[in-house]
Amino acid sequence: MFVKDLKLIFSDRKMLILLALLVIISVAGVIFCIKETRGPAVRFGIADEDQTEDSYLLVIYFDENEGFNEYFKVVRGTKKELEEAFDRGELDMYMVIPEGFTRNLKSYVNMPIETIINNSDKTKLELMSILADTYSEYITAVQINCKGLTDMVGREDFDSALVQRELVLTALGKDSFFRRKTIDRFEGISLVNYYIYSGIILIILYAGLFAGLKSLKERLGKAGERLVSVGVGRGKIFFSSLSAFVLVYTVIMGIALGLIAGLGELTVPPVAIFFVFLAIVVVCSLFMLISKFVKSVPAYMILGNMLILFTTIAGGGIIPIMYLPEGCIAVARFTPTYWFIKLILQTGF
Amino acid sequence: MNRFILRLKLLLRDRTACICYAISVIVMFCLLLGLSSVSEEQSAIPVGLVIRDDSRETEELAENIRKTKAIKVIEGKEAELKDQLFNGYLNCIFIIDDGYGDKVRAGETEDLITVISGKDDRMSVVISDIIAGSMVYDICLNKAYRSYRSLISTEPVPLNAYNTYVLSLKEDPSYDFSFDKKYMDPEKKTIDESEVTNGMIYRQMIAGMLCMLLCLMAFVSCNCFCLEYENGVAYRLKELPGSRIPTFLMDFFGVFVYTIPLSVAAGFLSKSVMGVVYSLTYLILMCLICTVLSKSVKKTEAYQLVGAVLVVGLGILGFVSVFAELIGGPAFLKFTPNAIYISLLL
Repeated sequence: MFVKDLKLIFSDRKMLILLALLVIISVAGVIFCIKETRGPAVRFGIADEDQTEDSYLLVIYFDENEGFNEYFKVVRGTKKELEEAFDRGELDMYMVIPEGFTRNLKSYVNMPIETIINNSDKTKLELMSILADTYSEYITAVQINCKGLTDMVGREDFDSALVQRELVLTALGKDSFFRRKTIDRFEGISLVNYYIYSGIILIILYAGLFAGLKSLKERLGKAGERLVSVGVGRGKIFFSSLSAFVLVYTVIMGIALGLIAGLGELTVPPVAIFFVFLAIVVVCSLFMLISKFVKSVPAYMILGNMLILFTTIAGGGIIPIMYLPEGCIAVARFTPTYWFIKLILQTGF
Repeated sequence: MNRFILRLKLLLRDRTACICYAISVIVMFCLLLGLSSVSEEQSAIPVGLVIRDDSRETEELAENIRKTKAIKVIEGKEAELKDQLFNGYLNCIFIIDDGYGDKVRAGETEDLITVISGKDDRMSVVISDIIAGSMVYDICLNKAYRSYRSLISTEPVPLNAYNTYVLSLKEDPSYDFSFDKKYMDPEKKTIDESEVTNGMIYRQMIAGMLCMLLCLMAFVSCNCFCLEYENGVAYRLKELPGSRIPTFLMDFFGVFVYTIPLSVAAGFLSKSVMGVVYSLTYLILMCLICTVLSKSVKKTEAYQLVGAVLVVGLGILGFVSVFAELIGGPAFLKFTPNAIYISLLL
């Protein structure tokens, strides 16, 4: 019975071709995403019109800071060059340190650094705006502490330049404030990886929907009743069909993950394949059970597709789990998407 | 016209499908409405905070971190926060180590806070920059105070009084340095004066979900054409007199009208009349694509497979377009239908 169910799945050649195409597209998409999204994300321009030692320190901080450069690609140039690059869409933001900036800072005159941020990308805009506010705090802290020191010392011959330099270096060297501990077995939650996991469970959900659709069409065509009339038990019919789908899907997903691992330079641990298998079993069983209670194909299609969209949204497939409200997380615990992502996150690719 | 009315009747006659349609849409809208209402609060990046020091400096730092809008602080013990990190609830963990206050007072700046993150995590570097903003004042204050003590020969003012004076300077707007931020669209060359709020990404994601819902509805509604091919009705109808194009248009129009309530609801969620217009336009496009697809594919299973690829593919491209530039993705994603809908709706 199980072999016949397998044959039944493979009898539809057009479907198999479509399925193969889907696997190829998915694998190619994942590899493309992994390769395209490496490297710094924000293109940041800086122009130094002040041309002093202190302003140079600021430029060097942005240009040579390892941590900063992981996220920002720094471009140095004149104001005009940066303006042109910004207009061509080659920069996401640029800063212009105005002439006399350091002199004014030393005499406690507030001379703001002009910062132009591209507002066409709302995602980056938010991040860049927050960071600009943070860097303002650095400069304010240095400025008021120098002024405070000068006032408190109260000597006319006191030159705060040395202290100011020390405070500037302290603020710019803020990376040393932190001792970083990375957890080797935990990849961290990069958006790209997160959406790859989410994409995998989405494909599994649709595969389950497809298995349910086959089962529903068999039921509507009375195929099940025919088999029962010749003495085959309902349980056997259900589990045989389920096993056939699970085997086919697991093999396909295994090949797809193998290709991603090989071509996308990702490590796929065996336990991740086990979680994929587990997800296929749960999802296929769920949809095949649903198909037993639905009366028509259109109703199943609406219900099934909406169920997938609902579990994907509520389960953290679109908005990552950490950004979901608590009420939503409570609902998420009942969805396969949530458990799959949670388990895979702990394993990592 | 007759064909259009018949098509609509046919769609509305399947009561089970209609009930499923209504229930699914209501549930989805409640979910999206719920997410939309917490967009500001939930957009903050969740980070864990472990406090192991009880000095004044630590208290102030923790308070400043809690006040930072970009960060949602979850406090607790290291073990339980690590558990949350592994489960995907946190981005990283910051531990204010024992002796933080003493170190700051001694003018030390090395290894004041421990950051725990995944090995390839880049966001924790950006969050560290934000948190450093809350630390710099105290560190500079103590360094400057030490210089002050070494510079004067008389009895020094106590640190508290010194701090009070420096803080009073902060109140003076001439010392409150800020960047002259301008938000500009390079294509339109216009400056946007509006303030950047925290929930933009979240709202974009919700718009993306709404878009996916519209696409899905158009897709499932067009399934009826496949069923007609499967049971032979479509071939019979071809024998009737009438040109193919008007027949196709009436079928398409019937499906489109069936999905109209959804676009009105989408407009309600976007709180604008233009939201209805954009949703209707998007639905027209999707109903057109799905009608062509279902009439070409003719088999329900194949249509389900191709349609799923279409819905999921467009959906994923739309979502990725939200983060495309942030994660360094390709720029062409901005021109996919879902990405255009998201940008128009916001």
